[in-house]
Amino acid sequence: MREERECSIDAFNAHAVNNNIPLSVLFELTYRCNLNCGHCYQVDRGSEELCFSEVTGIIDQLAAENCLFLTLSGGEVFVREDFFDIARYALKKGFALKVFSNGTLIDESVAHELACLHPLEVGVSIYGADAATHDQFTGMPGSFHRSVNALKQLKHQGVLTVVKCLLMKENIIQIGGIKALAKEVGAILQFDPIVVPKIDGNRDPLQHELTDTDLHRFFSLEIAEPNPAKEPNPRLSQPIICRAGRDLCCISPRGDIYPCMAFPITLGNLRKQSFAEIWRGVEAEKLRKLTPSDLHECVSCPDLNYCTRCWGLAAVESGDLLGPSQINCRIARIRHRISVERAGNKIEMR
Amino acid sequence: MNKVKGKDVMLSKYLLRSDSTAYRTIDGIALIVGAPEGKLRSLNEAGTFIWEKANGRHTLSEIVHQMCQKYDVDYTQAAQDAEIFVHELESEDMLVLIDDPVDSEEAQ
Repeated sequence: MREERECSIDAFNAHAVNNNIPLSVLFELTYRCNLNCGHCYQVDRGSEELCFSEVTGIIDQLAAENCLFLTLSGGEVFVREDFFDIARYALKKGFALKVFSNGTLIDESVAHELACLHPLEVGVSIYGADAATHDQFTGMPGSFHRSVNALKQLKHQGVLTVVKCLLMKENIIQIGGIKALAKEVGAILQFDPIVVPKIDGNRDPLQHELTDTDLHRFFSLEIAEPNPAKEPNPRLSQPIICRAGRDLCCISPRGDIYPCMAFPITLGNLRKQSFAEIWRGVEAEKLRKLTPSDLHECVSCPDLNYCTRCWGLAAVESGDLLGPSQINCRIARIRHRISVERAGNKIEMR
Repeated sequence: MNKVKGKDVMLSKYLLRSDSTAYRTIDGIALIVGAPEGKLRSLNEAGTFIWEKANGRHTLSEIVHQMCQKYDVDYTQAAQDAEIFVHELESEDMLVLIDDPVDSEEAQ
């Protein structure tokens, strides 16, 4: 009765991508946050956030569209007093839930309530191995201890936790300490080496971004194989080069649908149209028709096979969806260099 | 040996999808994800039929009878396959076998 092979996540996703099934949706429930991180990509885009009945109405629509993985995020989700009402509603509608939080509002009681939702994971942002470093980023004294306590409480409740750490020039030297911390609290660790501009193009967060030397060190030490791509780079050799707007999307606190959280192009607004209308609408279809041949420069780039180009990042950085992404270019160049170094050759850093 | 312990007992039990699983049926195939490991399962048509009936209000025997009517298959063989299938999902905490039916309001 069961298929002979287990369904891999890759096969699962491929079916959704090929059929534009929004299998994974990131729902940003609020822009409000109790922290004030200078590197945050979010900006409050004005107007009133969706109320409970609007959120549940959208959840109903997502269920009808066969969305299975629903990530509830913010801002900080726990500043919404109706968070658990929303989450329980989603659970009743058959979603597999993930929650992203800064953890500062998760105490023993909240952790217990979260555990009752059977989330696939709860991701907690950690920006350093110690309070001094972390709290400097968040602007809230005590936030490190509260976030670490949240991870411990969640673990105690049997919840799978993920330490989500954005690497910046101020915390890159603490990689070892952050690893030890994640191990201590029993969490999976995810490093993200890419600081992005704010979604409106404001480049202030980039003051924290890693230098080329830092990136080289990170990809040399942390990534066993800096060149996972086979020739030709599968991300740029197929009509479908990104899952954004195909099997995943992001919904903002105001009801805007974005292809993904990093993609600054609105497909439509759920206060004006249904999800189905937007998902099958002109803007979404236009996005899905883009192919590598539409790109201005990337296809002839010597670092192409090392690139994990992000359409959204390109658009946020330069306003040009079809142009190169500076940070992706830098990383591709560094990965290329590492690959050549490992092969015993040398290549000049451009 | 395709044999399940206590299989006669199993047929009289009510099937209930575990609280910790989520699923969608897409193009007749149920895709199940179990928390907290995020384990994924895809079921074939017959497995999907059983899974969708597992709302705590039908015994396995009833579900197998319904399946036989729908697919015109032999009960004995279908029951044996169904027991193996249910046993597997039960051992992975995706299905629960219960003695009494759940209230209709509670049924998923």
